[in-house]
Amino acid sequence: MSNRSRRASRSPDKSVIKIRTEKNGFGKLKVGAIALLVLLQLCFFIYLYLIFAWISGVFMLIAFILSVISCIFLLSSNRSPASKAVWIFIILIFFQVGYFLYFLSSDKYFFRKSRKRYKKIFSYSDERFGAYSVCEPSDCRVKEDIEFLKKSGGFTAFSQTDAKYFSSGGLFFDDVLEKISKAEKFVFIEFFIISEGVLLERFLHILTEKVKSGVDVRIIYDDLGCHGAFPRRVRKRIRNCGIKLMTFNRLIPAVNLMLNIRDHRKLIIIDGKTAYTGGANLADEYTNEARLYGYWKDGGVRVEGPAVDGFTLMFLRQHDYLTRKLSDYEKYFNHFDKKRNASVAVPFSCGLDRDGFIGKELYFNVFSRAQKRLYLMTPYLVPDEALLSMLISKALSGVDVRIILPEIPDKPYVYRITRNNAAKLEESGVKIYLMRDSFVHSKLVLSDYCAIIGSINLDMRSFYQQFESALYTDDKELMAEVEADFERTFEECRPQGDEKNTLVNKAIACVLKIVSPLM
Amino acid sequence: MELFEKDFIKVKSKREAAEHLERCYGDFGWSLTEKKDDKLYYDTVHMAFSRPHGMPYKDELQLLQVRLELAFNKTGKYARKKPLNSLICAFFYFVSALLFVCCGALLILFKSDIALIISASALFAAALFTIASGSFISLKIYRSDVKTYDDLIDKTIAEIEVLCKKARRLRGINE
Repeated sequence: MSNRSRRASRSPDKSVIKIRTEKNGFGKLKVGAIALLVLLQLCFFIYLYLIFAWISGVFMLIAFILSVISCIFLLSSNRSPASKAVWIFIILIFFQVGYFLYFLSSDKYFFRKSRKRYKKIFSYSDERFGAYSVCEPSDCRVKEDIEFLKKSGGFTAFSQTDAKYFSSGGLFFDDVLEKISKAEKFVFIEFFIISEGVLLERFLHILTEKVKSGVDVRIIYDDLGCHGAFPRRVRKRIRNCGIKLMTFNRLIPAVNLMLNIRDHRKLIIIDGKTAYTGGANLADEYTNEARLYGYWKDGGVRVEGPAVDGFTLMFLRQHDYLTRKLSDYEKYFNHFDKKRNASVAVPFSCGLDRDGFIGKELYFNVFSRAQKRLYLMTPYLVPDEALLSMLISKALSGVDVRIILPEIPDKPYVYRITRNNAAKLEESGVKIYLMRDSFVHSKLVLSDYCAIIGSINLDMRSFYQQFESALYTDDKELMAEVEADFERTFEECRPQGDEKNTLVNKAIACVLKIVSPLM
Repeated sequence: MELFEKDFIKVKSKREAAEHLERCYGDFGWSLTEKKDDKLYYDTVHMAFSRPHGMPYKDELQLLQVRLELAFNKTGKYARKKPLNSLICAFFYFVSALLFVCCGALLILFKSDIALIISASALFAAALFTIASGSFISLKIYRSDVKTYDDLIDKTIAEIEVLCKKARRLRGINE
């Protein structure tokens, strides 16, 4: 068809207006092709296995014994009860190959080597991490949380640290860029998503100048998070200008047992004096300069003072894991300026580098200790039964529990479970708010005695599968800023209301509920 | 440097809405930097806007702007819905009439009995009646839908005006 005759036709796009988005067809094609190849390989392995089983003749007996062994392993594992139930269901239904799928998905076996490497890095870095003085918190609940974080993950509680909250990605990144432009020694950046666009250009413009003036710039990104949005030519350009760019868990077209394990952290550390964490990634939609799902509500926190060292330690450990070299840790610590702030700040991370599920446990502890108020902002609400029951119990005990969710979803199937869980909570008195015309991506917990700001979603992936970063604090000034943001956001929300509960919706909800512990 | 002093946004729009959109975006502080026709479709234009980066109330403006964009798309949705019910109705009547004609034709083709010819004529008459009544009812539905959706479009345009007014107020522009 000639260009002229094509110009004579109407656009099939039904929208009156469309804003530029970062989605790119090649990315989808790449992920689709990889998924297909992985699936084909998986089918091939299962086929080989079935042929072998058929030839051996004792297949049924072997399958039965392996299924029983898998169930025993599974029941004795530290997975959540809901996840155990789903896996037993899978093993029983597909009993000839179910146990095979279970062992393939189990990080206990296939992440063992990586965990060993992390342990080695941890013990090396712990020796080089100094002692920091911390003020005794007046609230015993904070004391208990600090103790929990210390004993479960070895996280240090800091004081003399200032924290500032940013209620949007735009404000957050404006501040980040301003601070980076003043960097003198090093800039460490770790993001789940880095996407080509105006924001990345702003970053690269400053970072290139900094590298030229001798600043050590290192960037870690997650390969799945960046698929299709962070092209090879941009990565090459970044490397060519002297920035050290590292990929976490590269996507490869083979059965990758760790494909599900992702680095969801968002960290920026500048000169050991300033650190940032939060929900926003390095892409234009986070500053609303591109539109994906309506208005993008996000946030983050800036930390200045000794607590920055906690974030530096987090970054360097991940860096050492990826480079397989041990850094000179002491070089990057103790650059901070002490602030006159008696509040407690605990930078913490969670992920498969540790044995426990720190994020989930801390959320549970904070929820259980709230006495007057518990405000949450999250894009997804797929917690396990224990957390759901805790929220219900708190609401029934008279605690003011409020949850802000998006009105526009990014993942429709997860949103369906989110809304189902929200409806269940609403029946017990939890107030659910949907932010109109927006996608809420902030991950905030505001209790009457503390706040948690970071990258941890209220879902199973964040609790069990992904590497996350966050700040726990009892800073009253910061808590007031977060509260003010909650109050402003409530005004832009509508109550959940009744959803159309058709038979199809009910059926979909049932299926999704079964698999939700695996999400 | 422009990269740090300005925000940028690129918009793809239907030609008939482009001017209105440009005016509305102006209320949000955006100025048009480029406007060009789509290479493939005659009814589509591409516009690029920029505005100062450090604007007060930028987040509030952005939320309002999303609502403006959704409102614009709502007008398009309503415009598309105008003929929908009447088309469904007309299609139903047309299929019914066709059925009558087919039945009548079959009767004439296979039997030459006078009673059957009368029945076939009745079926043809029924087909004609169906077409007439279908046209009448479809037209009525169309007129009613046009009125309903025009009212909704007017309401949405009023909503757009309110949003623009709020944006102007946030930017400190007096009426």
